[in-house]
Amino acid sequence: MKRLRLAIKKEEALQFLSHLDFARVVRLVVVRAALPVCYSEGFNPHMKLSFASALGVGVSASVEYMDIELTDEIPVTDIISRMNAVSPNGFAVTAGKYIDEKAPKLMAIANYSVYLLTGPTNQALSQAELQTLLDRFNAADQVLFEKVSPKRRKTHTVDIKQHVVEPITGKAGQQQVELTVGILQTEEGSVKPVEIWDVLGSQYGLPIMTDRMLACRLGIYVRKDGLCHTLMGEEL
Amino acid sequence: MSQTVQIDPILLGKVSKPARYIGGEWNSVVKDHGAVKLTVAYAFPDVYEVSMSHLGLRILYALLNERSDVAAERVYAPWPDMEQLMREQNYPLFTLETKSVVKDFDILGFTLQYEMSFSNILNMLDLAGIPMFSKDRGEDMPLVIAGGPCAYNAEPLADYIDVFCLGESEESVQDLADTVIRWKEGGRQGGKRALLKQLAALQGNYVPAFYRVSYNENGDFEEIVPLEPEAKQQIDKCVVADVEHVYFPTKPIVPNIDIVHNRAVLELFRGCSRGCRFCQAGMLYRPVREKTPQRLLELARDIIANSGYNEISLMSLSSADYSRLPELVDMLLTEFKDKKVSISLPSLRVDSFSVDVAKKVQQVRKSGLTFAPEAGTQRLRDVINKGVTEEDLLAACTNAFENGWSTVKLYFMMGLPTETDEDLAGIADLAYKVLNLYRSITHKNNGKVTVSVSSFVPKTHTGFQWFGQLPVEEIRRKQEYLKSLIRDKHISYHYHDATTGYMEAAFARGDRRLGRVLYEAWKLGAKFDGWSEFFDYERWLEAFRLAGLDPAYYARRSRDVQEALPWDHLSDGASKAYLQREWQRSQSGELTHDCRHLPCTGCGICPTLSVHVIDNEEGRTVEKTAFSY
Repeated sequence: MKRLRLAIKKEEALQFLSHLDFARVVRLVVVRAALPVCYSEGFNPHMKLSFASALGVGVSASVEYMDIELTDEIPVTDIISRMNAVSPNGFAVTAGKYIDEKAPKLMAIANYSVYLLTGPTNQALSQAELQTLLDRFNAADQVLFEKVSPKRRKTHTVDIKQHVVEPITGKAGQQQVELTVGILQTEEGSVKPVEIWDVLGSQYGLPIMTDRMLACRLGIYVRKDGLCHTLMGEEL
Repeated sequence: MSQTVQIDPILLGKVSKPARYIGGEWNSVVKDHGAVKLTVAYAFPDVYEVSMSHLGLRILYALLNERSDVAAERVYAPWPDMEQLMREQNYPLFTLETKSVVKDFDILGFTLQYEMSFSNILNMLDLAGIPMFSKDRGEDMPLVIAGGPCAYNAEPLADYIDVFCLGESEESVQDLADTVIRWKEGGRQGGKRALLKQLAALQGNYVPAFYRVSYNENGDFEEIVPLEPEAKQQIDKCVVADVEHVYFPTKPIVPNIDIVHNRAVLELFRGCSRGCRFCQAGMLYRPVREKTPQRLLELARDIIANSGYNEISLMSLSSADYSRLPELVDMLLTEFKDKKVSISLPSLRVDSFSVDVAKKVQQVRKSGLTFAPEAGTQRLRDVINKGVTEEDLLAACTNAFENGWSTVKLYFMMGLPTETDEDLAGIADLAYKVLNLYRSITHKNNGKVTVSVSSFVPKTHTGFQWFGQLPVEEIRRKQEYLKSLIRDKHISYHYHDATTGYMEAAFARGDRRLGRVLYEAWKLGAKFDGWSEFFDYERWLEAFRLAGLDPAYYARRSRDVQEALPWDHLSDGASKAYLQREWQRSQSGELTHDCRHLPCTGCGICPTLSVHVIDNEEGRTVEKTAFSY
């Protein structure tokens, strides 16, 4: 068994897919590319394929990773061209590397994501005003937020600053604002891009609508001791 | 050139399942409108997941896109949340492929699969900014055409559609495209009216504006008279003589979201001549024409390779009737042995043979089996010409239970001609017999029988087209009566509210005056009427009141076999005398055999349309003597 790690994209027509639908689209690409993929045993065999994260509806990603188990080692460049030749609009494989069979799962190591959040502003916002507002957020020791857990129907208080460890940067446009936000997943969990958007609107006066935002994930990393490493095992 | 719609992705992200409106699916075809001579928007008046599951439009879409001079695109009914967004943002109806506004296409083609989707057609025209009524559409508006089974009773939509196309379009759509291209290249001489005349002269095309309808002093339909020399007194359907070599798409569009039937589809044959008297499809798609197993294997291989699907469905009106089914299944199982591709049969015949085939294809998954005895007693099954006996059903179930199945679903109809409470009791009786059979075979008490009963809607072009539908109250009484007879927690009983069937029946045998009802209903907000959460009975009754018409006149009135019918001019090739004979034979429970392997029964379709039955077992080139009553 050979384990291959691929860097992929979820964009354009696919950005509005749920994780489940996206995973099915990718499985179909693998089948059409006729890769010698491994399946689990049992009555209902499933393809040995896993992702670094579960991207929600509306969240696009210019970088996502997946691991796939193959019965034979085929040159990475062949794999990439074969998959890209049979991919729908919005999916692409950008890089690949065979990794150790026993390497930890992507899901277990990926703990830092960088997002570009874009949404319309509902009043004029200058770059200076945006910067002042972000500076205030970036300098705060603690930013508390009531997180609602839909399953348990309970709320608990989360300190967003435990997860946003790098300063947020932003660009004020004519009628919209763009923010670049890194989110760290800790043992306590994580926060969603929309929650940060919401807090900047409700607590810091960013003139936005809390439910009007698109998130694009620019990168996903392993963050250790303040350093980000790509999931391909290289340091940045 | 077509204008395109720029949809704000942030707003789109707020509607349910935005991927319904995005396109970009694998095998979808995007062309430059500037580089083609004809643009066609194929419309299905329902939501994406339903629309994408329909084979017919997929065939025509792929077929036209094979031509370098045509761009065919898709457009489906936006779900009400998307409709609201489109109306708020002034987004006109657009196609999935290029987001071009539908109004700018040369042709807008609807498929008419069920009557309760008609309100969505009006709503889609409105969303497109296309005048709803054919007479109000100027030269700059697309030609609005429609096909599919409901085109055989086109009259309720006559005011809205420019051309109806009857029958199978794989060949005739090429003529249609060529005719429109020639007209465009010739400088649109004579305008749309001249084009419509040219189209009316082609087989299968019905241009309702070229006819005058009259009613007698009682308000009954009297006659329909052609007003133009090109308009024929009778429109004959188009039919593909040999489906072996007809175009079939091997690069199916693979949707990005899950749809109702998300699998590869292989069409084994067209037509079904079992002759169930309630069944409209059984008349409209005659004669039976099979493909060879070799051709099907080739198609299956390509379809699976090009789609990546792990399931292939063997589709036909009655797949178990495919004369080489065991051979085909073996070939497919061998072909896909190591490819993790399973084979599925959408419908089973009520017999042990079908279960043998199901056993072969569903080697691990033992999901439930579905059978359709349609009626509860032998007497009534003979009335409807469902050539199935209780022994057949019990043999099928014995085979199923002995081979590990524990769930059986039984489909029935209610409100059939000559039906009595005894026939309904027969339904409960059969359900109990099947359940007890399970208990005696397996000595277990975990069997499950599902009884699903729909209320009968009489359809045109069938032996039952003269029958008056039972009143809603009577259907409700029957539903309650049957409910009282089923008292075992291992039998579940499902039925639908009778009011939808009542409205469906009114439109299924309607005349041109019903166009007004549709318009009133649309104005009152009717849409997605095939969805129980949107269907509003009171709204439809109000629409009938506003139009000054009575739905009972259309749905419940028993017609005289001699009277003129508003769909007599729209012909599937069968003679009216044959249907009258079927109606009479039904009253005495006389059976009519299937002509597939036996002599001709005289429906008239083969001699009228110069086609014949093609069955691999009978020898593909043998023509039997056919006649017409």
